[in-house]
Amino acid sequence: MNPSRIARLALADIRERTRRTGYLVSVAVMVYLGHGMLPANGSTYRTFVLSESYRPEYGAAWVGTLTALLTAIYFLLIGHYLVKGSIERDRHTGVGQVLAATPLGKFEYLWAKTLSSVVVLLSMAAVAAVAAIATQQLLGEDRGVDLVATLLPFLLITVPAALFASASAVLFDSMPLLRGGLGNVVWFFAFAMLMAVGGLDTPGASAWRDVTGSHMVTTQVFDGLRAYDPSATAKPGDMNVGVNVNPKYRGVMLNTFPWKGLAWNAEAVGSRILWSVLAVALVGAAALLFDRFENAPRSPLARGVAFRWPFARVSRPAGAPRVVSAAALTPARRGMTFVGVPRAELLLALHGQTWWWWIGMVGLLIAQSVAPLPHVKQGWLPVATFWPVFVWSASGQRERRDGVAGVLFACERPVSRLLTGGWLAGVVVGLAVGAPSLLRFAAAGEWAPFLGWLLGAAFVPALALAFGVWSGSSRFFEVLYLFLWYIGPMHAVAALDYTGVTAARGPGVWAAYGVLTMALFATAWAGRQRQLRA
Amino acid sequence: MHLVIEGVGKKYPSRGWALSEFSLTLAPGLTGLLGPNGAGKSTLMRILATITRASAGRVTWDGVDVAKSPDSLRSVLGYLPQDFGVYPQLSAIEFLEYLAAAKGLDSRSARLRIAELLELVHLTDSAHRPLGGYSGGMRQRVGIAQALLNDPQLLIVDEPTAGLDPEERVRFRNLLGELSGERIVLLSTHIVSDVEATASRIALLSSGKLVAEGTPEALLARVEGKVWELAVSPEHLDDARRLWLVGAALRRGSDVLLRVVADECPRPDARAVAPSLEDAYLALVREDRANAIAGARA
Repeated sequence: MNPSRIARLALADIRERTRRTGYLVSVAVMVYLGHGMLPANGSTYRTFVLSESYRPEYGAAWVGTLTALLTAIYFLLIGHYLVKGSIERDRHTGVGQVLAATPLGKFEYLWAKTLSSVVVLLSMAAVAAVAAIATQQLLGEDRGVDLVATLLPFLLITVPAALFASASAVLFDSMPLLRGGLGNVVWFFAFAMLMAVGGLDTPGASAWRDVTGSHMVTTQVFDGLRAYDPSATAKPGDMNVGVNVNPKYRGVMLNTFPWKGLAWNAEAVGSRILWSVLAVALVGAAALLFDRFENAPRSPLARGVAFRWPFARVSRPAGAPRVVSAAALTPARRGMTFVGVPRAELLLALHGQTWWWWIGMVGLLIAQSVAPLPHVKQGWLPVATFWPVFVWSASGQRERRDGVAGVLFACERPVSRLLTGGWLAGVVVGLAVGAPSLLRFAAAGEWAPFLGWLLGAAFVPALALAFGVWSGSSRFFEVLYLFLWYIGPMHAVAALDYTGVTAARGPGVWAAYGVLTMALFATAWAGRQRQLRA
Repeated sequence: MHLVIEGVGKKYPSRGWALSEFSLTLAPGLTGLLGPNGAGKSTLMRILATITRASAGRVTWDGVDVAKSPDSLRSVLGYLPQDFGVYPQLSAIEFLEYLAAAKGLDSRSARLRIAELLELVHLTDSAHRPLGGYSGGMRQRVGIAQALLNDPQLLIVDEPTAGLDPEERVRFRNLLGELSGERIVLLSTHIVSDVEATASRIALLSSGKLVAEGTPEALLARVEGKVWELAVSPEHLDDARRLWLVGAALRRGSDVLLRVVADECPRPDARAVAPSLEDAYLALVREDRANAIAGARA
């Protein structure tokens, strides 16, 4: 392994990533989050819940620790998605093939990718730290500046988390099955599992099992509280790190207590080293799986099913003279396009879906047909609404991804015909995936869920289209939709349940989804117009 | 049927004017747009194909401003971009069916036309294979087929012969020549031989500006009596390149036979030869660059 080569590769990768618009957006988001991580006393949300009556004072040590911890969680959940895809970019641009023809080793290459991801994430952490110090001064609970106390927690908490998020992204990028949209879904559940394993109320909880560093921080802060007020009590289940929104928090002034900062004891340091070593092991595993840009045949799981177009086998009449000149071509005739484009978009969207996707689709349709209606509402339909996520997520950006935009945008009415056709195809997919449920709702006279899913089937493709057109990538929609789906339909949160099936909706929510659908479609329309005016 | 380009320019925030004050009127026939890499050919092609808006000037199709009414042109346009891509999961037939729908063609007649076009570009045997497995040249032929799908009155092809083998290149050049009889064909390339055989007019673009325009004969006349052949030893080749504008260098025995473009006879033993379009191209581009440098110094 050549450290100089790794450093130079990483440097080029950092330059490439940080010169993209997406990086600037990420930094802007980080400024906002860095400020929001320290809610003022009496806010409707809290980012660290220790007890009903206490929280540490916003001094240099606590501001640094809390920001470092929340940034670590953000990196593990969102940062992974932000840095994922750099190997795929090398594959797509052809740079990978050039690198593969050099003596560069797999581990060197992957380690350079990991290193560049870590640096990119830590540059965002630096932004969060500056924003947190500024917020500390604004809130004024303790304006004492102590850069060591503020920044050291980043080294202990955030750096290992950034390393783990980056290494996992490299591992996923190295696996054909996980480098695409499926990997985005898998990481979401992997993160949930990591959080559950390291949870404060999990039996046998310890800092060693917690990748985020929450356990270490919470126990040490609680020790600080007990030293300040020995009568203070708190249960692990009540403690929470993250965004806790609750209207009852409004105006509630918590008592604050001074906190001196983290003790760098053996468990604290050892556990973070352990997670860093595990991250390095992930890069090692990635090196074993990485194909080094070889054009290996696709695995049976990732292989698409040829979805034959109904007219794909049409050929010229037998005995027809061979066409050797343009003059002999059949004249082109214009025709009806209202059905033609949505149909073509639909077939394109479904083309190449894997065999296991089709089996799952059929299974979900059967389950929706035979399961008791309450089970359909609370289980099968919500699951079914997630199934076409990769069909929807390709819309709005597929043409640019595959270099077809030049031809398509030169066609007549590229916005009104093609964009609308793409959206209609998405609506048809949404209606198809919930068709048995829709029929059963209609038969049972349950019009609220029936209309709810009709609106949902219009909303989701509009969301996908807007994100696809503006971001040029499927990833943003996939991640956002995953969150929306997990919180909305899967946990029956009415405001976020775009299906309108799992929880009763008020008129405001109905109107909001209607307006949002139109707004998203208009946003996609404006984005496409902008692309055409570029 | 005419396409009028009036004072068209394109300014990019990052690199300034990629194209400036370009004016040309195109009538039926094949016009070759020649120019070195980065001359602004693709920018002009994208403006004409309505996928990029000009920063200055205007383009009209039969008197209609295409910036205001782009669909008036798009309905009769066939366009093969330089960076033509495909949907890798689709077969050639499926991809062309998709584009036929996008172009608003009747599906029944489109099917037959697609089969014929695939035969014309020699892809019938591969028509049902996914495009992801096609070679670069085969993809380019799919690109040519899609540009002809709607029987366009205006055919814009940007570096169409890139990736084609010599046989396919000749075949495509002949096809363009045949098509240009009753429609406007604009062929952009930096390969002079691509336009030499078929273009009725040639426009030369350099550094974002129109440097010369006219029939091939008119361009050749500009270097008439200025092209010479002379032999030099291999060790003097670099000196020769520094002294003269060398178009071609061919090994002949122990010497190298040079084709030189110069106003005066470069050496007493040099022999005047008939100019080629490539000589004219090199001379005009060199002249433009010299003018640009002189202008910058002034």
